[in-house]
Amino acid sequence: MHKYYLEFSKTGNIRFISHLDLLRLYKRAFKRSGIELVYSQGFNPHPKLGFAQPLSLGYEGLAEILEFETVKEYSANEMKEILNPLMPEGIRIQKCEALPREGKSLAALADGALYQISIPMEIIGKDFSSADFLAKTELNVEKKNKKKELVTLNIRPMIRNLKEEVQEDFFLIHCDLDAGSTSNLSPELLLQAIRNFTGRPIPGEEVNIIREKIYYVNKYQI
Amino acid sequence: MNLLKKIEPLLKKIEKPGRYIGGELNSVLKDPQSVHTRFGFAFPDSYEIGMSFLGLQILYGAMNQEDGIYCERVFAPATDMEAMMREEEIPLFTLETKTPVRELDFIGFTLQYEMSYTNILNMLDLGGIPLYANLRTQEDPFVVAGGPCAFNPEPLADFFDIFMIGDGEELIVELCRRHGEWKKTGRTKEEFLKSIACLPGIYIPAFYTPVYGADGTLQKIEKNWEGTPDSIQKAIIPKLEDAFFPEKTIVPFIEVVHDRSVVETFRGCTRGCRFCQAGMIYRPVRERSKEKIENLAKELLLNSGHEELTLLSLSTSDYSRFEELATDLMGMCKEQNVSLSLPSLRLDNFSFQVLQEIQGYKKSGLTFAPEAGSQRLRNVINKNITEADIFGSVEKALELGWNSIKLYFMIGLPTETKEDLDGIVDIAKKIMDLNYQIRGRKGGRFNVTVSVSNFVPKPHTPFQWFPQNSASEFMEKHYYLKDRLKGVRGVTFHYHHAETSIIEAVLARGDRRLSALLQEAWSLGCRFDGWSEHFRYPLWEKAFDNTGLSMDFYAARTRSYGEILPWDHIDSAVTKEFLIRENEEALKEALTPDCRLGCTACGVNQRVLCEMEGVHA
Ligand code: SF4
Repeated sequence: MHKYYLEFSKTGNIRFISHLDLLRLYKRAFKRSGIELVYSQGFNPHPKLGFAQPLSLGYEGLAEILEFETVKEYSANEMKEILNPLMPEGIRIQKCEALPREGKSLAALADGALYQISIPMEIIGKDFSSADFLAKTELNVEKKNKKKELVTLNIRPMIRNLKEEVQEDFFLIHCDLDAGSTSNLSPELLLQAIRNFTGRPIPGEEVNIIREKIYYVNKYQI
Repeated sequence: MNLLKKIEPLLKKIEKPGRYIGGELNSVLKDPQSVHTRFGFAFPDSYEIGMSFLGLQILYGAMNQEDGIYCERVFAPATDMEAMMREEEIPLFTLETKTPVRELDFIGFTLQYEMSYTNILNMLDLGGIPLYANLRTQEDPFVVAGGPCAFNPEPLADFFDIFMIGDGEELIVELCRRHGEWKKTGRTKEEFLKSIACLPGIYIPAFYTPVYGADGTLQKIEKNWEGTPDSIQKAIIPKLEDAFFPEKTIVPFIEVVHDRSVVETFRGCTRGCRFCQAGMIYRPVRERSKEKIENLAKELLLNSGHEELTLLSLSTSDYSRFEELATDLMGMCKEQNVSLSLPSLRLDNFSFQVLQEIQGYKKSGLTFAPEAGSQRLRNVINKNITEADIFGSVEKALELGWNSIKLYFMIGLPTETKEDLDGIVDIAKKIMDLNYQIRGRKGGRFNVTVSVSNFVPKPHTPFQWFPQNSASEFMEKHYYLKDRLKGVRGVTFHYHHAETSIIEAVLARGDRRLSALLQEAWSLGCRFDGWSEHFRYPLWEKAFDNTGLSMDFYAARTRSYGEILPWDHIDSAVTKEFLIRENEEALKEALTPDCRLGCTACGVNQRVLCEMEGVHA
């Protein structure tokens, strides 16, 4: 078995397909490419491939990660060259590299992500300051739990870092958030906290969210 | 005009935005300036349903392989998207280039089921195209249609410029070619219509006027222009082998109803079930060679990366080299980690072997469609399946460990009595008894699903003269069956909405006066009538009231053989004499054999050679 990962971007209107749709797209691209993936055993075999972190529908991603296992050893760069032309507009494979054979999957190691949230100036107004925002010890939002009941959640501990930047008519928020199996903060909830903080409605369709990077436990680098 | 910039902001606000983005694998981008004809293939239902339809892939491929033609796709927007489009004044657009449909040369609807008709009106309206053909100008596109429901085009006749009757893959390309030539001449649209009126398969409704008598029935269909044919012969592709079939199909990004590689093995059916419109209008049976089918399957899988392959026809096992084909495909699929699915198999020993192999331990249910509960009624409808066949197969299935059986029946068939309904219950009971006999009382989980649909008499079938049951008759029968099946452990009972079936029957055998009804129903808010969550019967009732039309006249009335039927000028190549003879045989409870055993003289061989005539004689 040979393990590899792809780093790719998902931008433009292709962001409107879900991560399950994208996974299916990759499965099919591998089938068309002739690169043989390892299949699970059993009657309904599935190829072994998966994202380090699923990306929500509507978000763009600049360095998304897909890990997979092949039957034979391939040249990583060659695979990139073979797969790229099979990708639709909006998906660009930037890198393909081998992963160390042993150890946990990237999905198990992923624990954080860097996002850029962009909001038009006239929507967020002038009163948002990241310093004041981060100075709060509690940033409470409401969230539905597994039983679909509304519960209150303090998201402050899940924000690792947050900076602001003004770029022409847009207010950009760069933030490192927990994004793993033990603790996970969706930018959607952060946005809710920003709404509470600013007292402005900030309609979701005015906001653009880009995931720029995925982090792994113990500063693991791939 | 490209509407992308206006559409994009909506994508964040609606459900399943992936429906509207286009750009899928194998979708076609062309420079619209480079072609003589732009065609919008419109599917009057959701993206998910339309993209599961093989006909779209065939016609899309056939048109786009021509340099001079650009075919793009158009679907009915979901209600949330429709509301936003109306609010933002975004007209209906093509998926490929986001062009407003009114800028195209043709918008072509496929008529797969009657309950999509209000969506057609809604799509024209969203496209800013006048609904009625006679209100459209030289600048508007030609509005055209094809598909099985075009065999009775009359309820839609006022809205369409052109109907295509019969096999479409060559006709549609010919239509576009002629359009290209006409365009160069700068002549009027009417002149174009006249120039194509005599092509086999082309029907120009504006050249005909129906005349009704005092009792509301048709007296005659008058021609308005002597150049138009008296009757419209359906287009027939004599040899399927040479006809276009796509090797590359569009692969959706999002999940749709069916997303798999499909090869059509043959068209037509020789069995002659008397209720079945497809069995009549797609005659004769024409097969693709086994080699061609296998090649297509290989190419399709290669070009799509699909994980599933299936075969399409009216009855899979009837393919003349089915065993060889199935064996080959099983081998090929196994090698490629592709699953093979074979619908509607006749359950003989070979099929069981195949099913064992392709379904293994994950056996889905076995399906039987006896259609009627008694042998007598099965003779009436010419459904050649006996109880011995069913129980024999069920026994075998039980021994092999199948856990669920699905049974399909129709109610409201001609001559049906209570005994026939009791027969449905008996079959279900006997299957449960067989389970106890074979596997014992504690034989594990086993269930039987009984699904009952309401018979809708269709044009061009031997039952086209027959009155449909009323909604209350259907409902009584539903309750009758429900009551009796309730007591049988392990049986689940499903039935279809009676009122939907009534509207379907009205539209199926309707005449031109129904355009007023359709327009009224649509203005009252009817959309997606085929979806139970959208179907609103009270609005249809109101539409009948407001237009003064009678539901019973269309659905519940017995027609005489002498009556001129609204679709009489559409020639399916099966003769009326044959249909009458078959209806008489039905009333005598007599079977007509499969014409592979010998021609039964339906008339089709007057037009074209029947490959399968008497091959098993
Ligand atoms: S003409 Fe004869 S052989 Fe041909 S389809 Fe009709 S009944 Fe069958």
